[in-house]
Amino acid sequence: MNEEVDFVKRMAVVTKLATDNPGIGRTALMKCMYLLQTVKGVPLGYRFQLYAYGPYDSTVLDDLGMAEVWNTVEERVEQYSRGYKYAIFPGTKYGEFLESTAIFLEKHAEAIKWVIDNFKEYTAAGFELLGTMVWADREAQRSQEKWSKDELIRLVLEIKPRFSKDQADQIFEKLKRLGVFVAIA
Amino acid sequence: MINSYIRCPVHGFIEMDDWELEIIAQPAFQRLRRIRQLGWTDYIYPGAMHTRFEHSLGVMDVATRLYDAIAARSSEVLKSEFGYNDDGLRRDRRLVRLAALLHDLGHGPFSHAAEEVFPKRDNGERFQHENYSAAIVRLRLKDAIENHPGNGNYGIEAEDVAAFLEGSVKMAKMLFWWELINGKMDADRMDYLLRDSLHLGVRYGTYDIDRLINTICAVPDTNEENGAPRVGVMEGGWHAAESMVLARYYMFTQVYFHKTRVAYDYHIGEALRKVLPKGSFPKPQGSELESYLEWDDWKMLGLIAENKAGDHGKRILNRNHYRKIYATKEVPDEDDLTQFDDAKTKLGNMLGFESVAEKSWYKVDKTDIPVLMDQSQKKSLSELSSPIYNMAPNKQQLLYVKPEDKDKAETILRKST
Repeated sequence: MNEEVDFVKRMAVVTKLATDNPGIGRTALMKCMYLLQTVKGVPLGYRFQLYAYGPYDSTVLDDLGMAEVWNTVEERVEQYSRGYKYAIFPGTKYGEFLESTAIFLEKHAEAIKWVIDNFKEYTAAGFELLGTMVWADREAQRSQEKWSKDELIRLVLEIKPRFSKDQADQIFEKLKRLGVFVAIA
Repeated sequence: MINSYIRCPVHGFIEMDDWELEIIAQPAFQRLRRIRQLGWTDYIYPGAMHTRFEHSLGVMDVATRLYDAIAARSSEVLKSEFGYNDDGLRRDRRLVRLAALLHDLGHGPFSHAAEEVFPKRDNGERFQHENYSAAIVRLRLKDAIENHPGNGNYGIEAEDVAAFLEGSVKMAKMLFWWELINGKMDADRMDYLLRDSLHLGVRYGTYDIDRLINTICAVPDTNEENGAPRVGVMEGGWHAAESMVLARYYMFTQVYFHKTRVAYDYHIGEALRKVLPKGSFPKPQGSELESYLEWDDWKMLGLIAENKAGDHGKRILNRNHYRKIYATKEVPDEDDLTQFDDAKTKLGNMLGFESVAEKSWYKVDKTDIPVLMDQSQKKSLSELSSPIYNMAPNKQQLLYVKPEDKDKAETILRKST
């Protein structure tokens, strides 16, 4: 895949996610970008690394920052029962911007729809868990190792000990149903 | 047990024991004495002659101080979240020290300038210096790590260190400490800002490291039921964290993304392409790794001096670098990008190369450091700090031409405006 991707195209994806899923949080945005690049092959050019909070590349937040500067998205701090979160909404110039980047977005429209339709109900922590699972799967593929479902879940729960095995099981099965895994049996 | 002290110009005496000295004595580590920290930055700041060797020692020292501060201040969080006990904390402290010491082992000649010439994996992703660091640990330092008597009580394997350096899922709870080596407030960053400032003779990179260490902690995620704790600062330390972020911003604009420094990173990359078989470094695997380890600044300097590195080698030798001819604003808008593309088109074949700030290794990012408020609530630095909140990412783009083309290029661009 040799498609050249610059930050304007990445901002277009950020803006599209904020438009089609208004109120999306920073963690959800990060993990959606990870899934789009890793699972759906959208050429975004990020270099994700694994942290306790899942796959992360600060460039995603840079792109969000630029989208704010260009007024294609707007970020608000929203209070809720447990604390606060950053919520991202379309900005005043989202329409014309999406129009000017339509060729790129149309090419990847199916992938963007896939990520929103299948994952928009997850909390930030849920996104962290599922992102970590996908990372583990791709790491197994890279190192040509074969891990079972139980091994993968054990590893992931060591990183995310606050989740129950049942919760991890559910996410695993959903990812499996969606055909996300490439290395896990 | 501490056996030796090495004097460091930034942190004073750095303590280490026999085990660590044995690792430092290995040829793969001594090679770092022959890799300068900032490539050809001495062509702009003559003092920039320091190496990855002294930086690595400094990172180990800072990582240890950060680790000890968190272990002391946040022991309850570490126990409840990750099941740590005192033995576990002692073992992982050693692992963090080793990983910090060895994190830059894989750098190529002139540090980050070499990364553009790293080979790619089968899937098209380029190897990173961390992959080389991990491979060197696995293949060259296994004996020194695993079989030294100093490791007797810890049972640390080379694979543990390598997995840590690569940020592997196998690190499990150790991933929390990964942020000390590769995070927003990591030991690497905390060391290089101070060290680079000292050697270059600038003050942009200075900040209050003691206050940061005095307030660093594990910040539980109070916003999410299942959220993971992160490395952050207590409320009293957020101004110190803010000053470090700003120090990094100034260092980026004044040093790391200096227009002439950027040109020399380009020249060294092209010179390396010229002299390397097949135009890229050997892979971090098996016998290829042995060939990789032969590459350091000294070897490359020799090839440049012998005129074997082509036009770009000659330009380095004679300090006759490409010149910046056009740049967007640091935070470009759509019009800036259109004008940039126009300028590029007008320059045509005269264009030497283009550079994008966001692709720089040291790029300034939209940093979000967690802050543990006095009421045990988590906030983020960008929520507390107006300058950080308003800091826009640097996406500046630059165009360069050969010095002999500069006047002509300026005329073309002037005519068209």
